[in-house]
Amino acid sequence: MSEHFSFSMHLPAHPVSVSMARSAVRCLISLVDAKDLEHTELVLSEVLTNAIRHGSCGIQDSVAVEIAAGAGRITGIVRDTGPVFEPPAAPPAAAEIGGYGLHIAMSLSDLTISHTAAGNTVTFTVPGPAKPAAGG
Amino acid sequence: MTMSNLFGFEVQNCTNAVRIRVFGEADMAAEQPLVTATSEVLASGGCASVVLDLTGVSFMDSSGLRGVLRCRQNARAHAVPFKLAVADGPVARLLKLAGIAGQLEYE
Repeated sequence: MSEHFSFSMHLPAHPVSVSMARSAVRCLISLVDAKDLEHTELVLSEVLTNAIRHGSCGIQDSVAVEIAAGAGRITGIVRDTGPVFEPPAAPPAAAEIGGYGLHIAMSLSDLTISHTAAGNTVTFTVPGPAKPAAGG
Repeated sequence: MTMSNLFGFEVQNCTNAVRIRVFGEADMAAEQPLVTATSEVLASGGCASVVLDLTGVSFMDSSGLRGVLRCRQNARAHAVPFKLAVADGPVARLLKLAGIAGQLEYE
């Protein structure tokens, strides 16, 4: 794939934004592998949900999303303005009802979290370099 | 039939065996409505069992999963058997990715 395509958007820190961001990513359908696109939708959903749930104070805050596709890869960047968060050290225990999000995202992508004075920046790349296609 | 992305659900009650059919995208926006719907069914009493039918779900992430697990927790608190109906597709893949597929009961 030689084409390169990118877009960015600012979304309100509200639950409905997660579906809107996934819809936008589906415009890559003709550029990327279908499995990679499905994984990107899920990873973006998890990262954006995390930013809205933990990284924002209210809907007056916005979350910035950048997506780029090219050279067989999709890269996403999600920036929030909230307090610092770290990825969980281990998957949730069997009895837990939450905490799966970033684990799922990390299982499908190469994901890094960085912090600045302005907030958190999560960068992910699908497919992750050393991981086989997951999820069957 | 084209599967809509719009989240929704439908409660079917057949001699107190309740089936909640869920449609569309089960994400952060759907979590609380799903939990509320199940809570109302359980609180109404006379509910012998609950099946959460996820075969119409077009997308699920960990927030959708959290909604399902909260529904299960609520059913357990009411001592009502709780099962899922899951087809091959996004829900089955998500349950497998989360490592929780083997811990749930299926219809």
